[in-house]
Amino acid sequence: MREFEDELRSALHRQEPPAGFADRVLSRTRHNKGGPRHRSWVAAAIAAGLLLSLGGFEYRQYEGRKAKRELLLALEIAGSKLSIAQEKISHLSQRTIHE
Amino acid sequence: MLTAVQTAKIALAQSAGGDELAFARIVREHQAMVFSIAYHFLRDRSRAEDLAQDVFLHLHKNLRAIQSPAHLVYWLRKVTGHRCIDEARRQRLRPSVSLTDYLEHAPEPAARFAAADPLLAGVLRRLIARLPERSRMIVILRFQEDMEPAEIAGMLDIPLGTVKSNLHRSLALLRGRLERERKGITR
Amino acid sequence: MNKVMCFFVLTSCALALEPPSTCMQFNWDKLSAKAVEKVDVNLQGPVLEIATRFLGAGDDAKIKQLVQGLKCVYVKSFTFDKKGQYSEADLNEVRSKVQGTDWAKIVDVQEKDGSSAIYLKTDGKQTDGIVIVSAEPEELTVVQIIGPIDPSMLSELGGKMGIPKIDLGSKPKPAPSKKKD
Repeated sequence: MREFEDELRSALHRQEPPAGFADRVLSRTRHNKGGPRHRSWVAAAIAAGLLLSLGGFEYRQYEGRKAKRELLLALEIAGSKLSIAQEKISHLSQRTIHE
Repeated sequence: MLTAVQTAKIALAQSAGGDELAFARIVREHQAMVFSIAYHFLRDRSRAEDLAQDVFLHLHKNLRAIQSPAHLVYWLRKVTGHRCIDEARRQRLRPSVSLTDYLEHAPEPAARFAAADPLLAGVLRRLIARLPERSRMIVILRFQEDMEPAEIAGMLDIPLGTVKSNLHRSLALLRGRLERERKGITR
Repeated sequence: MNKVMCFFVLTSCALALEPPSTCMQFNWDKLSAKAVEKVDVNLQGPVLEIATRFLGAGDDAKIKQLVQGLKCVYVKSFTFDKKGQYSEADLNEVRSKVQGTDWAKIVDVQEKDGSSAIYLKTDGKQTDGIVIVSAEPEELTVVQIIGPIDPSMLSELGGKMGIPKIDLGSKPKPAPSKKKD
């Protein structure tokens, strides 16, 4: 049991995020610092239009990222099952050689 | 010569006062912890990074509420844990992707596999990602962060008995699934 | 009128001869109802193209190369909470569709409590599709990838993305019985 728990600890050891992570966080904190601004109704309409188009863009981005994740998952499973089958064949071949 | 705790206290005080560099130091010190909890939970590097960034943004807005370096670590783990579970429930991860949709990946550091057996590490991470959300977080907090069950219970606002039984069941489940994987790989 | 008829006949023939661009579909309703966990990926056409476009630099570049030109990626994986939730008849539905002139069974490993089968479709020069059927006591997985695919590159991804990397050349261990076509 202790060995299995150690294996879990090894598998779950901490990893660094992608390079530049802290810079991106700081960039967002600076962006969030701006206070509320006075907007005319024209500017508000433009902002609303931008939000709508941005919403559509964001949705497409979301769908694209989702499709990519599904693709990577499928490849992971395929590669895993392929590897397992190859390993079984390899062991059988080695057993045949040694008999 | 300042101790690590003293340095951390000073960085906290400075960043609460608006010092960007001090806040950057705090982010760099704790980014691996926050990102790893999210990544091991969500199994998606880009979503894990998004979530980790949100956690630090939330921290930036609440720095004055952090009382000490130890409180900071507790706070970060708690917020990250809760956000991960919320995110997973929102995305309905388990039914649609188990292995968790995931496996978005970016180039990982060469030291990625600290485990003696990288193959096993990868299989274990995959199996952990298939656990129900709460069980998954409990396992991550226990074995990534080395938290005691009582700490986990307090952090996730669940009874200690629930954490212990959950952990027991999860380990049994993981061992059973690992055994089946091993039979496929090594037999 | 005769010319129009000829056009339709010829078009139909051409379409019939065109290699299928979609994955084979099966009825999984029965197994789906019994599974405690499911993986369901069915990417083809525009959605598959979008997914490929979202692959970026770094390790993604290799994957982008692997999936270039694919027409369909399909994975159905069911995890059950006990053995005996699926039968040979469920697997035969898949096997019957891939056992034709187009597909060659290159691996068929039968074990006491499971099996692995790999089918490849080639046009003589390159692999044009792969089907993997993996049956374990509490898990059934069917993978289809239609299009130009390099199985060795797919297997090479082992070690990345959490795919176990198999070191061929490991110590001999007792192996299951094997039928290899």
